[in-house]
Parts: sequence; C-alpha cells; structure tokens
Amino acid sequence: MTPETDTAKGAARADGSGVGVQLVGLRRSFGPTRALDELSIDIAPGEFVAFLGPSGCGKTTALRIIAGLDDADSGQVLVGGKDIQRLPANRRDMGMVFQAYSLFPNMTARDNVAFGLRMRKIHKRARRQKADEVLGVVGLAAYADRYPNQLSGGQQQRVALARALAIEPRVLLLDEPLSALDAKVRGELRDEIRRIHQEIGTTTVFVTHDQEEALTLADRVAVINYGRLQQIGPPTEIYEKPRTEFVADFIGLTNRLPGVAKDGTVSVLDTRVPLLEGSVQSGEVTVLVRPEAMQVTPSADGNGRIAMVSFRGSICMLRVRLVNDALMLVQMPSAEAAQFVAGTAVQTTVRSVPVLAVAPGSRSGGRASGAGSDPLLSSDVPEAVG
Amino acid sequence: MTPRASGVGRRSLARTFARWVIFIVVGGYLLLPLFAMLEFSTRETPTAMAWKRTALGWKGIADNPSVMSAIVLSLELAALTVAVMLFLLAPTMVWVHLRVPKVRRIIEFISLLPLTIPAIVIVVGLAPVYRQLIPVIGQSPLVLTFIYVVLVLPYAYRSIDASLRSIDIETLAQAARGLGASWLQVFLRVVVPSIRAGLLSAAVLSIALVLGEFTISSLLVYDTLQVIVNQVGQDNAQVAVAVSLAALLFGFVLLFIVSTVGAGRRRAARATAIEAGLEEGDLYE
Repeated sequence: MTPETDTAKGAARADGSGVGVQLVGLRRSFGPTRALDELSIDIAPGEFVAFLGPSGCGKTTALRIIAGLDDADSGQVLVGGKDIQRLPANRRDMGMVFQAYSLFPNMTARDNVAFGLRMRKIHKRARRQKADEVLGVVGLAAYADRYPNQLSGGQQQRVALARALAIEPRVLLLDEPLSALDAKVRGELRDEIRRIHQEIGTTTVFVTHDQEEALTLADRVAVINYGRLQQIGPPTEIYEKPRTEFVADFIGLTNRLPGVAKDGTVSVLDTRVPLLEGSVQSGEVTVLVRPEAMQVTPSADGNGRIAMVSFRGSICMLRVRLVNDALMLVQMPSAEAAQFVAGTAVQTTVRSVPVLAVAPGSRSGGRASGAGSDPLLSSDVPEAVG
Repeated sequence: MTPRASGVGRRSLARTFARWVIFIVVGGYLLLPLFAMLEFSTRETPTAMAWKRTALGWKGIADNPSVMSAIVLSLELAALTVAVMLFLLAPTMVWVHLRVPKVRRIIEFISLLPLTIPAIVIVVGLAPVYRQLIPVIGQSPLVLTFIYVVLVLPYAYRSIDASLRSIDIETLAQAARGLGASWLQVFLRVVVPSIRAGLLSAAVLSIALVLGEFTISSLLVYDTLQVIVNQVGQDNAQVAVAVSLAALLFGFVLLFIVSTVGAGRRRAARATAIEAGLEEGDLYE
C-alpha cells in the first residue's frame, strides 16, 4: 500500500468557482498513534471531495488541519496555491459544519447565520438580508427567529450549513454533518447539500465513514486508512476499479476466491478475467469479486447450491454454498432470481470484468471493520477455497 | 367510570395529597424561623408576646450609622468579590476547558480547598500577608475582598463548571473561530452568553456568602454587616434581627431572580416548538 498523490482530474466545475486545496505530505501523530502519514491530496477549484474511511483513519484530523483547528507535525496545506499553515483558524475564510450540533444557543437562527458576517463587520442591515437569503437557500426562511432549542436536529444542521455558507467561504468543510440525524432526515439533507453545492460551487471537503454518502455526494472520493491515502477517484472508479485490497473490502461487498494469475489475467472458477491495476500479476492469488460480477445458472451437476435468497426490491442477493462448503454472494435482478430457491443446484461463474487479485490469505486490515451500512459485509463471507 | 379508572383516580388523588402535605411541612419548617424573626423584630415589647406591632426595630437600621455603613461595606465587598471572582475564574475555567482539559482536576482540587480549611486557619495564615500588604494598599476594609475571593471559589467553581459541562463549549468555540471570531470574541459573544445562568448563580452564591461572613472579618477587626449585627444585637436585639432578616430576604430575592432568568425564554421555546408540531424529544436531542 503506497501513499498516492493524485492530480485533481475529477469533475471540477466548469465555471472554475472556488479555490484549489492541496494537502502535501501531511503528518500528524497523537502520542504513538500516527493519525496522518504523508497524506497528499489535490482538490480542484469547485470540486466536492469526500474523505472516506473507517473510524480513526485520520480523515477528521486532515479536515481539522485544513480548518486550522489542529496543526500538522509536517507537510503543507495550500489553498489557492498559498501555504496557510501559519494562518489562525479565524483568518482562513473557511466554513465548517460539525457532526455535533454547534449552533450558538443564545442566538436565533438568523443571528447564528449572521455571526460570521458580524465578525467581518458587515453592516447590520446587510448581514440580516444575507442571513435571510441563505436561510432561504436551506429552506428555513420561516424559522429565522427561532432559537436552536426550538429546532429539530435536521433543522439545526441546515442552519449550521447556512451559517457556514453565509460568509461565502473559500472552502466548505463538512465533518460528518449527517451522522447524528435519523435516516429520513439524513437522506433529505444529503440531497440538499448536493443541490447547494451545484448551485454555489464552493470547493467542498466532506468527511464521512458512510460509503453511501460519499459515493452519492462527491465528485471524487478519497479513501483513507491508517492516515494514508489508499485511492482517490470518481465514485464509479473507486467502486469498480479498487486499487488496493482495503478499498475493495471497504467499499461495497466482496467475494474472496482463489485463482491463478498470469499475463494480466486471472483464472477463477474456471473463468479467465482481466486483472485491475495494482493486482498481483502471477501465481496463486486471492481474487476479490463483487457480487454483481458473479453469475449463477441452474445446473444439476454444478459447483454449488443456493443456500438463501434475500429479496431487496429490484435486486436479489443469493447466497451460494460451493461444493467445498465456501459461501458466495451473488447479486442479480429480482426477475432473474425468481427461478432460484434454497437448494437449487447451480453453476457459479465470474463475469468477464476486471478484478483485483491480492496475495493469498492476506486481509486488508482496516482500522475498523470495513464496509458501510450493508449487513452482508465481505468479512461475513467465508473465503472460498479450491 | 370503570373500577380500573376509579383506582387510577384514587392513586392520583393520594399522590397529590402527599405532595401538598410534604410541601406544607417543608415550607413551614423553612418559613417558621423567618416569621419568628419578623414577629420578634416588630414586637412592641421585646420581652413579651403581644399583638401590637412596631417598626422601630426596622427604623433602627436606618437610624444606626454603623449599621448603614456596615451594609454599604458588605455590599461593596460583595460587588468587588463577584467582579474579581468572575474576572479571574471565568476566563481561566473556559481556557482550561478549551485548551488544557488535563489540568481540570487540579483546578477543581485547588478550588475546593477553601471548603476544607477552617476560617481561623485562613486568618492565621493570611494575617502576615495582610500585615505586609496593608502599608502598600491601605487600611481599607475592602482588602477583605482578597480573602473572600478565595472563600467563594468552591461555590463559584461548581456553578460555572456545571454550566460549562452542559454545553459543547469546544465545538461552539471552534465554530466561532471558523467564522472569524478572535478568542476574546469567542469568550464574550459565545461562551459567556451560553453560561450566563452559571455565572449568575456563582455571583449570587458569592454575594450570599460575603453578606453572611462573620468569622474572618471579626478576627481581622473589620466592621462588616455580620460583625455589626452581632454588636448591635448585644444592645438592641430587634434591630439585629431586622438586619439579619433583611439580609436573608435580599439573598432570597437574588436567588429568585437567578432561577427565573432564562426560564421565560425556555417556556416560550417549548410552547413555540410544540405549536410547530415538534415532539419534545426532537427539541433537545
């Protein structure tokens, strides 16, 4: 696992609004624990980048260093090409939304939103006008005179977002702003954040441990583990072309199958499929295959039997027990899965899509237990052998 | 009415009755001495119970210059003590909570020490310091402020600490810093308003303690309110009791003001939120 430096090639906004942010070789230790280890990331002007990783991987530390709330032991933070390491937090011109509700309890929603403008000595009438305008953007114009304890959790986070946006920050920093909210409100606010970013175009860094949030919201996702950048790229690339075992394990579900790699391909379940960049290129390997890259067909003398069929709306998740007792996850459209019931004999194969091959027996060893919210995690699936 | 509903109604009635009994007994226990003081301070003949009342004891407060000057002195001492205590303690505690939380326990230990040290020990310990100080800062009884600030530390510390713990001061400060506030602005515009109830509570406790303090001022021979009350009590007990009752009532009024500060706004907040259809649980999550 080598640290990766990636140039910002993602979906930077065409209008070029916002400023670029570069993290260059950031290191930060807390006692013996290394929170950041040579972390380098380039963020293009106007881009929405999500820092994704398990708890304790260093993503929040990186965000706090950008905000000026923490200091790096070494490395640089460049905003608009200028090193801002020496600038105190109150002079960095960054808006931040925290995981905890952080509205000032003694101020109304309007006064909270206007606080940053007041610090900038904006005239009272102008800041009131601006506060009302931004509250309108987050859909809370009618709540301007309420105190934080008169607002629900979702409304408080909207006000916090409005407060961060009101100062027209050079960079918007979001530190797991949705994690304290219930599922319904989280979904609504997530859409709201995306919409607002598309409207305003501020360079945005979003920290989360929820892969669904990261993949849904971000132009690019930076996957971090043990303080090191594992991979950065558009969500589809992160999902379909993981470059490390950790990324493959952490994002989505993965089957681990034995195979033999040779000449840029790997033979797995009697199928030869191309290898992804970063794979072990020769010899016996463990192949990481997504459930949707697996396929099953009814076959009386096949290599496994359906153990369970889980209906999930438009798709079904099939658990297939192979003849060697290993368990596989196979995802397919519900219409196709209708022919399968528990006990059906099947032939399991792999579609010809690029896969990642790693050294046999290795595990990614994330700081926390891998993937996001899906109950069927890669670690739940026993490794198939033979 | 079903038997079940009738049983529930009886239990509710019994609970209400028990609450009132407790309220009346405790209220009587607390108020009786005050009524006794009022009764005694307004008797026409101090040595015998009688229905005829007089305000001579209360008028004696204003007529006795030493009582008036003692009241003024004690109020000055209370104001100075509150000012010095808030100026020293509030920023220190906020700074400790924000920047050096590791030393919180040490600060707490130091702040609680005056509770464990008898007043006579404090006087004996500080007398030499005062002997050195008085030539420099003068003979004014206001020098008692220095000791009183130490004496009120445990109570003031507890009040402010409870307030600071009730809010996420670190996140609030970071949010304010991120929005462009200097540390002074964070303190004055965000932290102080958020812990206002704790600061007021600390101030009231300090005032009550200073107004009631006797041992130290007596040993250091300063004529504060309680020292004069004691002296006057030997000549005219009614005036002494009237002054004591007035001081007690003053303390109660202060406590009442503190306990009602913010309550109106909290009630309004709850009412507005419930009107808006929010559940109670949504409000303070």
